[in-house]
Amino acid sequence: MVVNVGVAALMCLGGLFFLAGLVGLLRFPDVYARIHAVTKADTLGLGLVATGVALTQASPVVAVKVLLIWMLTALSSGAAGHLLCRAAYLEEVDNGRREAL
Amino acid sequence: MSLAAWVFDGTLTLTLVVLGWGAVAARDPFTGIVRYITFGLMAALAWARLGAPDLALAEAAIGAGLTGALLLSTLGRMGLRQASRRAGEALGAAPRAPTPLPGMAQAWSGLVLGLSLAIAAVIGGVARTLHGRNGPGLGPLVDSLRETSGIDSPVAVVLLDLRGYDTLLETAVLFTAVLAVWCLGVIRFRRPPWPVDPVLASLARVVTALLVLVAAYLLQLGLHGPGGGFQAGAVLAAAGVLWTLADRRALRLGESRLARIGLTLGLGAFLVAAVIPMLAGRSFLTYAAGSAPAWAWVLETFIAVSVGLTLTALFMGGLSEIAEDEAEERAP
Amino acid sequence: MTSLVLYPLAGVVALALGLAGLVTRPHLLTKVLAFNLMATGASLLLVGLGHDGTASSDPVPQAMVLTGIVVSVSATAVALAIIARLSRLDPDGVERSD
Repeated sequence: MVVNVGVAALMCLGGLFFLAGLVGLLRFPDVYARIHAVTKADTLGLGLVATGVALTQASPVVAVKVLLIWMLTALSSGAAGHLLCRAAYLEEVDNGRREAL
Repeated sequence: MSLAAWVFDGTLTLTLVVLGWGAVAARDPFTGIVRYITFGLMAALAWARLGAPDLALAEAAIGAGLTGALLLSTLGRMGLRQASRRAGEALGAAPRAPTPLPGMAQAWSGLVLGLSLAIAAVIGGVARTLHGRNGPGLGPLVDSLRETSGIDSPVAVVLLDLRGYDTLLETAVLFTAVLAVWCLGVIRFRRPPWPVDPVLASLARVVTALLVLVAAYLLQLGLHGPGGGFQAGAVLAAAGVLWTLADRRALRLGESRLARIGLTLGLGAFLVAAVIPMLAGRSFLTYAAGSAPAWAWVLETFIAVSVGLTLTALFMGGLSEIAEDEAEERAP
Repeated sequence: MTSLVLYPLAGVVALALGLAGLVTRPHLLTKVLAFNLMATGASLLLVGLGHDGTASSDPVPQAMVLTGIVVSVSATAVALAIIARLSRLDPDGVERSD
């Protein structure tokens, strides 16, 4: 019973972080700020949801696999965020809107 | 069922329809492609909900991921050509004015949309009625075939045993697609003025090892549950796409003899599996009793390798690459 | 009638929207998107109809749709290669193909 409430609380908290990332995506002024908001908030939200899912699994092997999924997503979303920001920055340098660092 | 199921399914189907319409109705193609990728991921959720995990894996990897990558790559290639053309126009000739959309076209659009919805509703209604009249479907046949052939997963037994001929033709379609794309000529990439991104290069190295591991896992799991050769091939193609993005000159699929042989492995293995029973006196693609699991394992492995190479070759989009300045010198 | 009946209905609507988009939108890339939307809609219809609400769903439509996904990505790749080649020869023809 306590575990069920804990799992529900973790998943709701994860959902709130996804909502925060969504608000950041819609409201931040700059493409870099938007990518920053989405990457950070979504990875943390996924971690909370994954922890909640891992607690519901009967076998610990499956729980570890779920957490591995979270870590793999964190790795790839961090790299993807970097690549998107780099592409935006290099396009702005090409267009002349920004000085090269 | 329960209210929660109705709320979840209702929200998911509404999201699917809105995203699908948004993808097609978008003003510029880039927005449409991004919405289509999201639509593909929602469709993967729908497949999971409908009890089809193989389809969820395939839709997420191939339908959303690889199709989205193909679309974005083509959009990028078109954009480069149009940007250089507009640069040339700014120097000399007068730019062409875009033709305005007349009012009649909008009326026709509405008529076509309405007719399409009506036709689709009729098809859907008739299909629903027919299904209600018929029986339990082919499920019992597939279950009996699972026992006689020895392959455990129902989708695998349909793909490789009941409808093995369809899968053979599917490998032929994949092979023909690579040939068609290669026939369309060499592809010219503009060399970017900045160096290769180190994060992308190291990501490609780290993730490729993981992707090969996941592909092998999906391959061996495919005979007992969700997974199989096509999903494993899609995961290998993801590694191939990552390498292509990180360093285009690393993968020379068109020129390497090993890669060309690899592309034919899926179709070739299926043809061998189809012809050997004929030599033994049975008919085309009829496995010997009890040998079906062994054939299935061999076929799935070769399918995975050739699907991975094929999808990567389709993403590369051409036979080889020349830097754009060299191509202008060579063009007549 | 379980809530899973919504999925073949969504498939029907996606099929209709894809057909409408294929016919009315001038940009060739949007036509490719619409074709893929039709394919996904038809797949949802196929698998959704094979489902009778219980846990076990008919595996034959699933295998057909799996084949369909792979074949449609092949067709999309060839269509996109043709579009890329066409845009090199006639850059405006891709946007205003009507």
